[in-house]
Amino acid sequence: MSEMTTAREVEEEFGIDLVTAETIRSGLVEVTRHMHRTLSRGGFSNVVRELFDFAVCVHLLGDEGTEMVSVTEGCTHFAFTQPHMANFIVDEWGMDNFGPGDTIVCNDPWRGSIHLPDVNLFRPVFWEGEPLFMLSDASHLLDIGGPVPGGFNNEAEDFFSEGLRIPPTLITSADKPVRSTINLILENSRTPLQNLGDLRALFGTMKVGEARLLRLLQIFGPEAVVAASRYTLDLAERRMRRAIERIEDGVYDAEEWVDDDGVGEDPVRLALSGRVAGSHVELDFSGSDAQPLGSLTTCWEETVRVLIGAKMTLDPNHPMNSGAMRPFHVLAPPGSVVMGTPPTSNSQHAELATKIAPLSQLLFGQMVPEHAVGADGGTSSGYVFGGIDQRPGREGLPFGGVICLGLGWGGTSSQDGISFCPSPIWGITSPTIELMERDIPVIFRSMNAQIDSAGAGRFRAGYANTLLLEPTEGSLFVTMNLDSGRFPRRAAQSGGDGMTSYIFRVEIGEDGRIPQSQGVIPMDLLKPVAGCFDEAGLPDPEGEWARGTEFHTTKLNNLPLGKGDVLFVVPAGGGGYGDPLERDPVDVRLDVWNEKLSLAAAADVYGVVLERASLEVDVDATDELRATLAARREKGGPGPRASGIRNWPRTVEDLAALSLTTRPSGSSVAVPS
Amino acid sequence: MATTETTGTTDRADAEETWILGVDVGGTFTDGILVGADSGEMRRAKVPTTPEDQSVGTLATLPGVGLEPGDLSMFCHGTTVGINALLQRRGAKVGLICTEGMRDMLDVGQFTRAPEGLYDPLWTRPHQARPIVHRRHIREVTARTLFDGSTHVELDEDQVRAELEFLRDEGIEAVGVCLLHAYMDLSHEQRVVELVREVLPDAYVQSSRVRPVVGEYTRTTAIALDAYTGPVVTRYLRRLDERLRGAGYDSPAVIMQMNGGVRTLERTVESFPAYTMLSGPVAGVLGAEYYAREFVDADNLVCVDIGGTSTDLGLVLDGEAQTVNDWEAEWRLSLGVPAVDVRSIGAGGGSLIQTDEMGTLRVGPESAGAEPGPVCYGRGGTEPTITDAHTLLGAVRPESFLGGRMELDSGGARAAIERLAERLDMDPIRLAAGAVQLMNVNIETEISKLVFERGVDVRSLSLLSYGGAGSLHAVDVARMAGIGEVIVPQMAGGFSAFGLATAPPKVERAISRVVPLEDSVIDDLAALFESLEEEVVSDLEAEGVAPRDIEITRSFSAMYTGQGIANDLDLGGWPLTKDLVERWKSRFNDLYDRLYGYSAPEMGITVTTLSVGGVGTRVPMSMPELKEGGASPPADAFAGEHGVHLGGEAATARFYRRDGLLAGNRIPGPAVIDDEMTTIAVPGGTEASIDRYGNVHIQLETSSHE
Repeated sequence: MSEMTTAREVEEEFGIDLVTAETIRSGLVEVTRHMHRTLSRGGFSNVVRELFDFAVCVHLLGDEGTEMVSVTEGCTHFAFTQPHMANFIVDEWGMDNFGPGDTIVCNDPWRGSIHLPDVNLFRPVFWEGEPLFMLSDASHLLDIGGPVPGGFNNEAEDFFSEGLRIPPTLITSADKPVRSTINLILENSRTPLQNLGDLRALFGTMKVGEARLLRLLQIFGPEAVVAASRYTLDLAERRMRRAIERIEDGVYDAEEWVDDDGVGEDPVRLALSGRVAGSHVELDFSGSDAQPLGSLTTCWEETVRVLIGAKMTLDPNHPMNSGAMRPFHVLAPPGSVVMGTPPTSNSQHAELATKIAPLSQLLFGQMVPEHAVGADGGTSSGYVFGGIDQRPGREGLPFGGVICLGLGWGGTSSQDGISFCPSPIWGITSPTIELMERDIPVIFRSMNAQIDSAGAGRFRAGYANTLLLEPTEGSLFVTMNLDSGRFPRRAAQSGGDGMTSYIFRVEIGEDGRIPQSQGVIPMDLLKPVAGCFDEAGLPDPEGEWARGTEFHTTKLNNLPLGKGDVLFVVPAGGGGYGDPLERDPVDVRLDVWNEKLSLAAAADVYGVVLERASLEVDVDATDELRATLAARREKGGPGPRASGIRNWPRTVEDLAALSLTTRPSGSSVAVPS
Repeated sequence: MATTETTGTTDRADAEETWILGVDVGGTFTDGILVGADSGEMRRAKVPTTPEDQSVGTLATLPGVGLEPGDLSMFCHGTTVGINALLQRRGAKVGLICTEGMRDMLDVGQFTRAPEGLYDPLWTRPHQARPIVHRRHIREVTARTLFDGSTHVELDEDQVRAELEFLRDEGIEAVGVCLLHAYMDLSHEQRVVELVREVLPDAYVQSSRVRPVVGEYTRTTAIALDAYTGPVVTRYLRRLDERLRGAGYDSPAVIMQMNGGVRTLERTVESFPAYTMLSGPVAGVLGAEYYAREFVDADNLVCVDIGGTSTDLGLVLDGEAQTVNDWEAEWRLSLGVPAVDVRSIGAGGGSLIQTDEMGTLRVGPESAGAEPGPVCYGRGGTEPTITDAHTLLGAVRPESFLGGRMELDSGGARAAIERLAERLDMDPIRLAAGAVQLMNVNIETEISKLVFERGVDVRSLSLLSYGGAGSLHAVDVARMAGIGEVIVPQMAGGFSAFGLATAPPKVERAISRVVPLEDSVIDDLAALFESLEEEVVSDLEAEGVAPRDIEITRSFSAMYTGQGIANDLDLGGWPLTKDLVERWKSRFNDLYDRLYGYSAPEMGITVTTLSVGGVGTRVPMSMPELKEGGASPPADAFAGEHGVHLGGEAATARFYRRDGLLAGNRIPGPAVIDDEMTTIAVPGGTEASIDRYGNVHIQLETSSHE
């Protein structure tokens, strides 16, 4: 109990009573909630309004730096990058050069921005002539110029090939929009109208936040609000330090691999060490590969995004602020993949972000084994569409759009991983398919889970969305932000690894039908585009990378697709937690009953034997099979294999056999409670 | 335990009066309010809720109000059967027919994570954790309609039949049908529905036809929720109907819907019974709507209903209860239809005052509930609650609590707060006052969102406080929010039941057409409005409303072209001419300015959905009036002076009995007004006045925060 701060101590340290401190703490979060509401409903680009790729923050201006006191996340990574960026802006612009109503825009990754399409706005809030706080918001513009619509030029080797770079620049001056800056942004973009809409929404969001913050200042006075901000930061810091103190001091190591940099064929290694001493952790990226030629590089962001694993493992439920970042020191060698030097490109930052999150979770999971989790799919599974529409009545209209699909998260120590969830470094939501099919000439034929694809374990991983994509009339280009094609996703505590990513082309019937069941399409209809395959040409996560495939990468760049060029994407699955042979047979049965797991996999992977008609667990046969499987493993046989259907249905007839419920199963099947 | 109470006078035979009975089933109690529409007489009954069959408790209010069922003109009902079935996962066994490839849509849940689960690997979406439709029973059919309504792949009827036979063999009781782009062409869905009726003749069926609007996810959740709760609600309503008829009742029985209107029991069973899911709290806001129109001089009300475990909030603007289109029963389980915007937060008299190992101070959302309840109830509670804090602060007095019928253990309450205060090294009174303030902050925060999302100036609002625990907080909440007046209605307890009695018949119809709003489409849109209006009128006629009594409203949901989230705005006139559209566009730009701080007239506007609403007339109702008194209250209303802490300040307050006060009385703060159901705090610097209907108005000094 010695860590507990009493109300008297709060009063002595901050000069305000505990109730006022708590009232203002919640008021600061409320400022950002109002901003979030404004931006998410008022934004134009679907990246903001539907993918929620933004965050809104309040930062406290201090003598020694700027710290974020509250945030409402759209995407979680902004909660880490925005405070960092606020410091860059204040240092470079100088607080003396700010006046009330001034707003700075910046999208430069070397000043902390995530990538060029993000315009980040910073606006100080003054009280009686004194700047006390800084508000920030950001929006991912649909297009920021450069050779590839949408800004994800996965093959770019430098940032000149990616888009317009905006160093800190005045965009409102004394509340008046600076026309030259706005024109610069609009006239270098393919989507000026949408960009203007988004800029307006960003300005509106700032106004809303400022009004709400000024109200707090008015009610409680500047001294109390500043003191409560310090209280808020210290509280998050104390919580984080207390959790770190419970970790055994020492050095911990973890690594992750990215398939390739989108240009060359070599995999890229990410290494992370954690040195724990008392209530402090030093994180070190030394040992990570040098910055590659392709666009798989970031600068600065990973030094802060890497804290996602700490937050998720050590203090997941407290509102995020910069106080939680104080106990960490991060080393990132210049010239490495996570600290690229100019003029490197960073279009594939998302494939680093989605690997940094599981890497960091892996590292902190070692520090706190009871909170360890299997890795998630470790990729964006993001698809960017662009081109010219040719559908009747829309001939010649340019279009653009983005969709990010859900991954399976890894199994945890107490429950299965969540299904259909993008990387924790984000918080992305889905667009409305019925609107998206109107806006772009594409039909989403399936987004189903694939049977057997979740990493096995006592607590299995979640399931990912597959994507079956059919272009219609028009010239369509799709860019795939997809990785994890080469290395199965890692399990925790002897669970089964998660399957690797695949892309196929699909033969489509005359009548427009595509035979599919349980997220599976017969192999005879599939042509490998990318992934790991065995000698017979069948997909096998432990097979050879790119054997017989059209491409040597899953990160396809601006792939042209015509009518009838149907693609089937199966993103990587997460890793399971714990031995699958210890999974409760009732849970195995439930997955079979729900057609998420085949009878064959129930037996082979989990050692659970189910009676075919009733799907009841055969207890004796299960005990026997589990004993056999365990004995085989003890004699040096392999542990649980990576998930995924190994013996895929080859033909349409095979496919029918996969469906367990094509025949009536009778009333003997009880509904699980 | 059953209590009854009568106000007003009886000066004519019961049988000549138009008697309306409103019965609202709550978690613990079932409230009945009998209103004599002509005389204004009101009688009240309160009986324990009967969870296993709510109709038992509902009927039990009849003896309490002392009227033969045959003398009633109208019976209005609010029930929690639907929401309970959902929350307890005791709904029907549901099958869902969906488009091939979309089987996991409910579990996908738009990929979202709730804010509280953003960083937590153990947070799971509710439908994944506790499905209402098991994946096994979600069956795909080969059929594909495109965005323009054209058929890309034909419906495979043999396959549909096979899937339905599977569902039949699984013992499915209700079938939902939701196919992609059905809002453009319902024919595939309707064919599936026909096949359902063939293969599963006894099953309850719901499809997109109920509301053919764009947005596959919300349409699917709405259909699934209705299929899941519909059969349960239907069974309940049929049973209730039998009991009512059995007791001799022979007039219409109407059920409160979430849109703030009533439908007859028969129509409710026929179509979308899930629409009754949260009828009680909605009825409270309806009562507020009626108040705003008839009995108080305020058109804009924030409704604050603070109960034992939660606070329900609603908004009435220009005399209209405000609605939302995306009301969610649980995270991302949306009903997808217009519903009165009622928000519930975990703040009430029973909210626990807690600290953690870091020394933060928190009030709620955990609650001591009905059992054991606050420490001062003496039923075994040990953790201090907000009610205990009020006991310590002096406004809740043992001798007057619930009319003195319940004993209060104020010593126990004090001891519990002192224990916590000691851990925090804090003065107990400051802790108690601070806890009350933090709860007020939570409520004010929610109000600020409600108001902010509609771009309303808080200074135009009054705060209407009802519910047992509310009026001790009302003035402080109002002050924090910048609201200048608090009103505590005469019927502060049982207000939801009163709201039921006032609710009019109400129907909405909508259809999606996603088109840029240009002159060339005006005729088509006008035709759609007309056909929706025909449906609305015929629905209301079926409710027994005469066409001349129907008030029609029409609105567009629209957004700037290129956006994805639409906002509703009333057409503001009819017929739909170019001129009206131009005026509507300019109002739309103003709306965006107000809501988002910008407008973008040059972007063009895209319409997504057309809606038509129809409201029938309410039964006109009078209210009993108090005798006129002078500015100073009668001596027999005065109940002594006591030391209290109100609004964070120590003071000596004058206590009054509410039933002794007369119209025109003025009571300057610090004062406390007690009635049986609620305690009203009048802090220093404010003044209460009594209007002719017995409503208490408290004026605050106008704040200059904005």
